[in-house]
Amino acid sequence: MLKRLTVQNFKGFPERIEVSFEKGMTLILGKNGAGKSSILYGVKFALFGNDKKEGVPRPNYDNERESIAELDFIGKDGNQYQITYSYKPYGKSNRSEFYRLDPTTNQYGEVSPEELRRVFPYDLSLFNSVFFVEEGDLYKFLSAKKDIWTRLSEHLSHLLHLDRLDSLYSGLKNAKKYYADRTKHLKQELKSLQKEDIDAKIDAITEHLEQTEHDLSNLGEIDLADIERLAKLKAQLENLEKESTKVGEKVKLLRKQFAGISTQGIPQVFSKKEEEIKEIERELSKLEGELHSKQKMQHLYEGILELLEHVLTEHEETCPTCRQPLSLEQANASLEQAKRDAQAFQQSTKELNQKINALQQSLNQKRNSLEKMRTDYDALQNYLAQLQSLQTEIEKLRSMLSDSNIASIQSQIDLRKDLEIRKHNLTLELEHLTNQKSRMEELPDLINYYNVRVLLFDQLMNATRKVQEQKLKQHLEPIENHLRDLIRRIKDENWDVSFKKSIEPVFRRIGVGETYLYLDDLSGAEKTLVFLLFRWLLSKQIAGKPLLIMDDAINHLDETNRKLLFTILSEVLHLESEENYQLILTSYDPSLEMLLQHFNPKVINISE
Amino acid sequence: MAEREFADEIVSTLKSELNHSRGTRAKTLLSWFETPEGKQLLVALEDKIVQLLKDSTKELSAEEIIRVFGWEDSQDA
Repeated sequence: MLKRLTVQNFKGFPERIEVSFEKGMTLILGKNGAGKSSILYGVKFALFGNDKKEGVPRPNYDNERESIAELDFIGKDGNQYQITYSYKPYGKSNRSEFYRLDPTTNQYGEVSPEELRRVFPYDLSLFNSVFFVEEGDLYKFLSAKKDIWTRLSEHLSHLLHLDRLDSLYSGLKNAKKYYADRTKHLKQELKSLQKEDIDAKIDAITEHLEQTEHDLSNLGEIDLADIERLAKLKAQLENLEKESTKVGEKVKLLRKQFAGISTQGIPQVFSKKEEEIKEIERELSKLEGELHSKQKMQHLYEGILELLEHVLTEHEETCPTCRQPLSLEQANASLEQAKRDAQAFQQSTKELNQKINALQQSLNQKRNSLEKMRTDYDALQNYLAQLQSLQTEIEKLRSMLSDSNIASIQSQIDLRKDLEIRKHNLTLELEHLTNQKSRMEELPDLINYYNVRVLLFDQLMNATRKVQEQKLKQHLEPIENHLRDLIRRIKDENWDVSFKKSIEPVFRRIGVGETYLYLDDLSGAEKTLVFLLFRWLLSKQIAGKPLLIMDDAINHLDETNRKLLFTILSEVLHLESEENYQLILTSYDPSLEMLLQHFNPKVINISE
Repeated sequence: MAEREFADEIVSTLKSELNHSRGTRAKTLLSWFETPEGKQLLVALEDKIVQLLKDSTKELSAEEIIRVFGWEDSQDA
């Protein structure tokens, strides 16, 4: 049993406070915020330290100082022990120590912390879930819309951590399915391989391969000199054909230059073009003669101009050419006329020159064009001759290659090549079939191998479910029996009639052992009654002498229902003897002390 | 500690069920437990279940189970 709790710098308590728990009932009274729940958390803090998983909230009142909790309890061996835990967030120091009280010296001696699990009177792994009832637990329990016994069974499974076996079970099921699928897949593969009659196929391919190898060996060896000669001829032919194609392309290109003109017609085109050139040359020669005459005339006029300018400069009155009298006015007029004539000649000479240049240009173009045509024609003739010669060579080589001896060598080579390709393909096919055969041989072992895993996971699933069901049954059955026994006693024994009248309908409605009753069918008080009764019985089931620490768990019940609850608890658990149990409950309601006086509770008033 | 207790009970139940069963499936599994691989697994089975139970706050996948059993390298993978 829990004996005493001391906390310091813990939650709402800055200084050291000590609370003693008695056998039977301890009632902790206090207003909201007085620290009733903190005392209960102190029990968890001493046992589990600053472990959030165990539901211990932030402990320190002052972070600069250590928070300490010491819990004294009577162990399974009858000795008194003390477990202490101290924690300081700054510097993160924490320490857990465990002591045993020596009854002779009344001194505490240190014991290994591992001993705690052995001597602590309650299962530590279930301490928080089974022995602690917080206000929220009731709401969680009631939130599921299920029938009472399914819900109780689920709740029990959760409190005893049996629901963790559900996760294990699902995982094992997933693994089983994985291997079952693998096995199925391998069986299908085996079946499809068996259908193929691989042995017969291997025999057929082997026979075929042997025949091919035999054919190859029968072919005999081909003379290397023949092969070389053949290869040389083929290479020559190939080169000539390539060359012929190239020359053919060039001929084709050159023929485009003479589009529409036959090869025979080309010399006539040349004659025509030569005639045109000669015509232009003649025209050019004529124009050049004309130019020459004009240049002479121009020279003459220039002489006359010079003389007339002399007459005018020297004021001579005789014509310098005919020596006839010449007035200055006449000379002037003649000079002007001569100037105009000279200008006309200049213009005419210029035009003539332009004409000559244009003709010269045309002549050059015609000559170049003719020259190019002649070059192309020569090239064409040349390429045609080459082509002719190449084709003659090609024909010659082809004729050589079609010679019966050479043709026979070629056919032998071709046959050998075909046989070797066939041999290669048959070898590959044989290899594939051999692989399939060995796969077919190993598949049954592999299937058995996976099948064993399927069996293993299946058996593990069964074992997991069985353990889960057994444990659930082991705890749930006595609780059911207790309740049934209580109902029988209510019916059969000589109980107070008014109590009988109030309790009977409740139990009838709870429907112990039945599955048709849903939580929603009960009133709020009835639901609380079922829940607390169940938790109380479970605590008894786990610990023998039950411990229940209830934090504000019955505050919402009215006086009648509180009475009903404690009467039932008293009847079920024989609470008349305080040796039989330890119940620590908190409430803000001082009237509870009066209500519970029958149980002789030790009252701790936190407000004081 | 609850994990160890659960694992111990599961393995004991498995062994007991197999020994009391006359079915061919149970016999196949028992024969496999006689092989070196089977013997080795049987010795380590409780530890493996403890390990799985420690992870069992979430849904366990086939891959996690196979990893804990050390069978990631399947023969025909």
